[in-house]
Amino acid sequence: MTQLTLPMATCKRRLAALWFAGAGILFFILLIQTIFGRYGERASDAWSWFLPTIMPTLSLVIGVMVMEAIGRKGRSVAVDPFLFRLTFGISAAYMLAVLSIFLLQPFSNVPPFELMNQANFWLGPFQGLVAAAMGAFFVKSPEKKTLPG
Amino acid sequence: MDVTILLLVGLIVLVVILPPILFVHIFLYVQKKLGKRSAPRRAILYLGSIPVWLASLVMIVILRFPVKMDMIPLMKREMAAPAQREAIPRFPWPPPAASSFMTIPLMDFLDRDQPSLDEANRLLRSAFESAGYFELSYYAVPDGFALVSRVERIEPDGRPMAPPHRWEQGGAELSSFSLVGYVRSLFLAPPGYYRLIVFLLTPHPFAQSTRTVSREMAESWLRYGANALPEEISREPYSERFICTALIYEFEKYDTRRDAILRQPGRLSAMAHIEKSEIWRNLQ
Repeated sequence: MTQLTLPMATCKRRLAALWFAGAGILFFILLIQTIFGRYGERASDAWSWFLPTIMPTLSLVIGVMVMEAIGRKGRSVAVDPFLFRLTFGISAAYMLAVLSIFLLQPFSNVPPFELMNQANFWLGPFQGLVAAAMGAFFVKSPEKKTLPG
Repeated sequence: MDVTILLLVGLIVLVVILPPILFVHIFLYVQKKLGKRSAPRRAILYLGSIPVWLASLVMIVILRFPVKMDMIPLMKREMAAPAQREAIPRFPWPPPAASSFMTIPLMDFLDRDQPSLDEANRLLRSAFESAGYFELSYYAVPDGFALVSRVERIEPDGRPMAPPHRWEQGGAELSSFSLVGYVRSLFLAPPGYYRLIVFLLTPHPFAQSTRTVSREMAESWLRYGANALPEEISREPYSERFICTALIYEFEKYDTRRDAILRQPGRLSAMAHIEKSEIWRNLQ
């Protein structure tokens, strides 16, 4: 029986597209809010909260992709589709969770900064899950050396 | 010297000083029976036991008779005017600076030829209640009274917000959904607007003081006022010499700030507030 697999490169590209698209949307929402004075004098607090939610993973993704782009192309590695779908789903859910803080705050009785502080309680562990899943795709594994002879 | 005072002093000495002394002697007696007694320990015991006993007494008194912080202004008011416990509290005089104000020709709205302050009060109260203001408080002002409403949340144009948001302090920004309203709330920082209305009836002209009032202080006016007008005030005749003044205290609160700020001058005129709250229509 043939087991279906996905090429690692394809998985990486799709995950990178999700992260950059999601981060881009979040970034521009916050940028427009800052320009129009949504957070008043505390705009820096809003950015201080937002950047650590996406930058670590984004930095990892772009760093690995750049290294692979300028490095030697190795053999293509096959990935279990379940792992890819799981990682993609967790990443999408994480993006949605961060986005919901911005989009749903006008309906909430909780002031925006208090909501951001509360969100740290569940975004923190969530981000840990995301990082662990993304690590399977974006952590460079050591190349196997073949012995001579 | 009065015997009662002597007994009281003696009782205080017994309660405050005697127990630690007794404690030290009992402790030393027991120690002597069990082992050797050393001289320096007696002084330490005396020095230590008296403050410990006094601290325990203070804790017992505090725990037995707790004083709530919000009772303190009430207590101060009672202490300041002990002979007037039967009368209603006095409104700050001259009144703190308002966001806007106007005089109301109340005489034109009263039916009787020679009305009393009670009739004027009933008219104002009826106008308030018809507009949804059911929580009102009374204060005394020179030869008259003040009628204070509850702090309410209002729309930018001065209309009261729909319940339950009207009486919320810091509720959700969107009381009803509209796309424009949602986009505004998402990208802008629309503040919450709050209002308190005070009607002052007095024959004495006044100038508002330079003091300002916080939203918390304005909210406390409702809590600490009287629930009804006393008879000695209500039976006074109401004549043309009385001036009915509406003081509007308008507050703004941004959700990026902890406190609401009093707007001076207000965004809207006093007439706009009185009209939008529907009090003007109910007075006529």
